[in-house]
Amino acid sequence: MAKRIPVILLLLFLAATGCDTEEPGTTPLILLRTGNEFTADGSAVAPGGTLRFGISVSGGGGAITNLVVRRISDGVSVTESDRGMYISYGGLDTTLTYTRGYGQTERWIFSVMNSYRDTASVSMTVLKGAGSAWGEINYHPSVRIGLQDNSSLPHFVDLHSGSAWNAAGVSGHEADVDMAAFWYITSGNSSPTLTCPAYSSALTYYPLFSSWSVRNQTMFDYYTSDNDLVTEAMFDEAVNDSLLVNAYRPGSVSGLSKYAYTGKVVPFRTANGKYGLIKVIRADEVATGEMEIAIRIQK
Amino acid sequence: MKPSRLILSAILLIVFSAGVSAQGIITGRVTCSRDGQPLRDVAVILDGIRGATTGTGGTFIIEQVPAGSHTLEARILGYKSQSRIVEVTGSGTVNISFALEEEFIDAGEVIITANRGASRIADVPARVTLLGPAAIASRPAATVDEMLASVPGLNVSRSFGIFSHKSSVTMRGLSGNEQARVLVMIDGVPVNKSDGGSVNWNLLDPAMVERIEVVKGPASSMYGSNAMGGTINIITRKPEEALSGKVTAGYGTYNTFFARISLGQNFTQGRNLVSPENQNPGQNLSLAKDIQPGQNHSPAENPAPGQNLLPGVDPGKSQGRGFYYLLNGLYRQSDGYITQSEFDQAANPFIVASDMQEYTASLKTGYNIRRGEFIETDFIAYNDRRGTGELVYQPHGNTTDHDTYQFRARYSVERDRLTADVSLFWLKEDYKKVNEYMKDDYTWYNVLSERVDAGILSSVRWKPGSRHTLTAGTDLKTGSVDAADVYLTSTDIVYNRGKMLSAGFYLQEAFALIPDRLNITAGLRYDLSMFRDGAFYIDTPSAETVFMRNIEDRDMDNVTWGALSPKLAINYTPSPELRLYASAGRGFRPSVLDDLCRSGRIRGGFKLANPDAGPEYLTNLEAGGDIMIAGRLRASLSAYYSTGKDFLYYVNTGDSIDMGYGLRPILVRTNIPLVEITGAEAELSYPVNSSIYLGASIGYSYSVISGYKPLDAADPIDLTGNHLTDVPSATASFSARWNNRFVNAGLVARYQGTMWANDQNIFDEVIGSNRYPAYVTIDMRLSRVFLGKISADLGVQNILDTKFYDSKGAVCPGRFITLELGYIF
Repeated sequence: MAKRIPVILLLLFLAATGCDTEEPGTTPLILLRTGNEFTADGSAVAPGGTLRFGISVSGGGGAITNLVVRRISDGVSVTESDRGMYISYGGLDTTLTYTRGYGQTERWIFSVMNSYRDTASVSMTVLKGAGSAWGEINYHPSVRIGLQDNSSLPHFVDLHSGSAWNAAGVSGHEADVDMAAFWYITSGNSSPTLTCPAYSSALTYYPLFSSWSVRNQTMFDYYTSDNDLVTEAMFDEAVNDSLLVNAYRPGSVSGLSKYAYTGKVVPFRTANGKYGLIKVIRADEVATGEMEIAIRIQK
Repeated sequence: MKPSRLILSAILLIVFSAGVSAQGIITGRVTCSRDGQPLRDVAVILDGIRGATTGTGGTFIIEQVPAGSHTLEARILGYKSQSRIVEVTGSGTVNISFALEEEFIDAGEVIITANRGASRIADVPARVTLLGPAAIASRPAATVDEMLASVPGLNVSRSFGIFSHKSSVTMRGLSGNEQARVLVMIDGVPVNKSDGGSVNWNLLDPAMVERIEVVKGPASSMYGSNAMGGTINIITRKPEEALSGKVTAGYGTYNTFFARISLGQNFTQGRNLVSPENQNPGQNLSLAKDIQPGQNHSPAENPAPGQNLLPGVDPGKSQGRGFYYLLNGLYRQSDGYITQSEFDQAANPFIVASDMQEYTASLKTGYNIRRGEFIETDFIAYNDRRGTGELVYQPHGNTTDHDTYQFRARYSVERDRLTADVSLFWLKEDYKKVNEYMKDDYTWYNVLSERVDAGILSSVRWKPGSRHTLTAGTDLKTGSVDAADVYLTSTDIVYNRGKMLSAGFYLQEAFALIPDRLNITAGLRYDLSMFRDGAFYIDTPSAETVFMRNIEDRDMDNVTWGALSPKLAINYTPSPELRLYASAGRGFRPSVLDDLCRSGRIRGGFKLANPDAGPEYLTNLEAGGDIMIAGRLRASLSAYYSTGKDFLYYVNTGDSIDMGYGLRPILVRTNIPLVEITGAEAELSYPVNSSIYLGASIGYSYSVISGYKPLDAADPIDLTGNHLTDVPSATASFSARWNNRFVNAGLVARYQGTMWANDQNIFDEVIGSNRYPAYVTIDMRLSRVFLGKISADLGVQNILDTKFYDSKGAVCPGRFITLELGYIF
């Protein structure tokens, strides 16, 4: 019997290594919520007007992993948002806010995918309303913040109000913080950089973010900034939110905006859907330095 | 019946009975004359026609010995043979003892890799390193590649020990990240995958390895592509006894647990008899034993007594008729450790320990048809899952997973002056890499890749006379990759696929101009490599991959390359103490499928598929020699100069691409005009006595780009004069082995010099220098078998707890201790 034990062990070993299972896929479900607070299918909204979409998603047995929002304006398709996520329980209920563009008709398509790559979509059409509804903006002409090793200036900025706090004073305002700045060398280049609390690498310079229960994600349009598509003069002349909305290119955005040198203008969109522009008045290129910015943001 | 016939029958019966009853028995024991320790596996031959081999206690028995005077000879490699005249009377038992005197020789070491057949190392005009059972048993290696770390001129790149999901072994100034330039074989069949040229060094349990043969320098004249820089052949064990096995379990650092099982049986007739018919010492019948303390009398570095590596014998050859099998299994798991730098840990809240879990099982079966003729099959199944240190949502986080199956069949026959060998192989690897990370949002995608390599290898050796050995053969191989990056958090699926077919024909003549003194070897091989069915394309791209849309190519051009790989070498042995050699050869390698047909993100930029990349060539001039001093100290020196033409290298195209977070440079693997490599290796080996062995080595290489032409005239970067990356400037090692009656002890100390970190040889932000720093490691192993049944094995890797880092600043495991206990049956 003793001589058989190794054989039995080996057979058990081979059996244990030979098993694998695969779960079947299922189809997710996506619905547009209705009600007075949401834009209705077929309604007319003037350019610049606010669109609010209520989305309810269930994964259909798999985790919800992707939500895509596309706007087809007069036949031109733009992906407004393409977000990865992992929601394995409870589904997703969210309200999305956008601004009506100039097109005669806008068809909005909302697509969802689950962890089995099964997809579902829903769409609605928004007609063009009369007149213009471009909104008012707030202007903060000078906000001075410290880079990561600057101990005299505040670091954490509320782009809506233009307020800024340092580490000692930010307690209670974490949910208001949209932006911070740091300086580093990347790919051999000196880079004053804008970031937001939700961007994972920001923890390198501001470890405090890891303890915040709310970490806002602000998306910066690096393409427009890198290519100077919005000049300082255009920033200075903006009187409503038209430039703020139309300058923002959702296909080239990140929670990190490198090379925010003096004179750059960076379009952004905050976590609550407000569009804005940051003009870099002055950016030091040293970790103990500071950055002075001007902000225009939708009211 | 007539009375006369009855009388005659009675007389014959009496005479015959007398003859039968006159058979006696010879028993005895063979020991080492120096310390009296018993010697195992000594061939004790009666009258040169039959005999026995000694067992564990050094004892032997030969029955049915006719009465009279007989000659009894005891012989084993590493000891001087002894003969005795034995008088057997009647049916009695005669007891004879031998005390053999050690003989410090190494000329009898035999390898099969250099010439695709058995050759004495002393006759091979190249620098060869042979790691035999004794050397392997003394190395505290958790993986097969780690056994090679102290071989001069070799560069083992395994950043995280057993937690590394990939590793590479290169040699002689070639980049440490390019496994494709060194051919790796298991039992003579290649295991470099056509996809990336890489080798799954985790595939094989180190306990399965009997010996490793390393032949440095181009071997394309025999093996074609991949052998451009050299060859490594891993020879696995065969069963030696009627029934034997071993079960072990071990525990180590980072909560590492492992268990092994081995079971083998050999039914070969005459397995323990030595006669002219069965005397072929290449039967490999003594290779699975555990080395007993004090029993491992191995004067030379590599062959252990009983290793059956006598001159002119292919270790794969068999003797009597019979079936054999050997089963092996390994399970290993570990909680692992955090590999990432403190900088990365601060930046990423999702970092976790890089853990691992793996299984490997193998079955070797064979049938010895007759002396010199056998058929053998091998099947290996391997599965692993290794965490790469980041977990966001998936159950195991970022992982790599290999499901690998390898099958090999070999038929070999030896008749008179002719030896023929045919091998079939099939290697399938299903590779899965789970990638998940949180940046702006959550990204999750799986890399799924099916890689298949198969082929038929054949060789024929013919010795028409005492001076000539002709070797010829053909190799037919096919390799393919069918891969996809399947995104789960966006709609993208990125496909790449391709095939590489190759056919090689070779001929080599080894001519003894002056027998046993001056040999000339000339070889030529022609290879045809065909790239087919290449494709790279994307389905339903999102912002994650849409930037690759303009480089899609669903129908890449088929390309065929041909290459001649010649070799000319001379080997001169003016005296038994001195050997000199010189060689000139050229190797070649076509690009790997991954570079031909896959585009994707790489560190520092974006890699563009280049289906137009041509083969690269390496021309090597080499000279060296060995000298034996005072009968024991062997000194070896080799120097080489290589030029790499059309060298495949990552080059900046001058363009950039936005991969979703700003512009990044586009790199492409392409042929650069000229690379020069100069190097030298020196070794000392000193067997103090049969129990103590000392060895030391030093290697130096200087690899520089001599000719560079930017792909884009606007590209300001000129790499001319820059050093190749990932090549240690110098290596050194010291090894010691001491086998005494209490324990077998082995120690290896290794120094690895600085390596350039990037192509431009400029400051690297992660490393904090333009070069990886030098470091020293010391490894140790202690083992012992108690009561012939219980084995204990203590391994300590990196005793000094030296920290060394990879290109991402990730750190090695540091000191790693394992204790393994086993039961032998």
